[in-house]
Amino acid sequence: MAASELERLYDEHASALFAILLNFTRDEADTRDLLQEIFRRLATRPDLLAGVRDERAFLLRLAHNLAVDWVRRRDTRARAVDRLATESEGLFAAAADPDDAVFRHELDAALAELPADQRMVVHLKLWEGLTFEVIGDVLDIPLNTAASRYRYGLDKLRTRLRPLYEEIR
Amino acid sequence: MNLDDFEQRLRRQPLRPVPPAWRDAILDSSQPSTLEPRPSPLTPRPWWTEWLWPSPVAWAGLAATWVVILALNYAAAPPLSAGGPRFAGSINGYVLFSRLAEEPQFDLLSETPTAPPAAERPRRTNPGPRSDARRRILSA
Repeated sequence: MAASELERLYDEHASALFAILLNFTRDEADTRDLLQEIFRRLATRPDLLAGVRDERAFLLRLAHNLAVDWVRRRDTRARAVDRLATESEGLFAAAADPDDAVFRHELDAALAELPADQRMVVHLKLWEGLTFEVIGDVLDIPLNTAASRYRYGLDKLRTRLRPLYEEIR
Repeated sequence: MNLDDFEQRLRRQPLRPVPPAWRDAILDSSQPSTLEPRPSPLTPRPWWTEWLWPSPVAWAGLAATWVVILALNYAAAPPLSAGGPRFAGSINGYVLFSRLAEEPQFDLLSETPTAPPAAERPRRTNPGPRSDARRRILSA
């Protein structure tokens, strides 16, 4: 793949891939390794995107599959799932407003407490703006499963953040 | 699906951007010209690593237990004397015994014990026959 094409892909999709990988792994070093792996594959296999209609969805799916495989290996080694809540690297941008800063911090912690499958659906729905149909394609799950996972995940976030949300509303 | 206020609030929270320093590093190392045949972090490890990895401490403990058992077994074996049988304590002792049993001196079952040749009795000179004794009495 030409260098310019790889740069275009990076500039258009790296932020989204970084965010979903970070939200999944909760580890910045792992996120970097996985992002590196995605672009290494794109560089060495130019045909990977041939015939792909939705580049973003394809790359999100690739990122998710790599992350699932990565976390499975990491869990086998270190049972790292237990460390999710304490190893969050901070998913959100820093906020100047103290209320926003507190809310983002609590939202980050609440997301870390969600099961990974619910967390991924919530992420793709809220911050990627994907439909449940596309989310189902990305995560390789039925549409209804994507919708129910989103509902469960959002309910947990709502319950967890309601006091703070009502206070700073 | 319409997003309620809570969802709208969540959606407005900006995600942290990818660190700028990563761009050049990732793109440079992803160029085919700079790619080396390095092992990918996702490359599957050897099968034996996968087999051992879930509980390396348990496997190490099992190996250590076997070492202790072998050491104790070795220490408990009777010492080998210089001229003694070299097969003491060996599991091949039965085989060696079987071979020895085939030797003539060990053919215990087929050999019929024979009485040693009777020693020749010394010729008795005294006392003589009873008739002689009677003659001696009468002549006395």
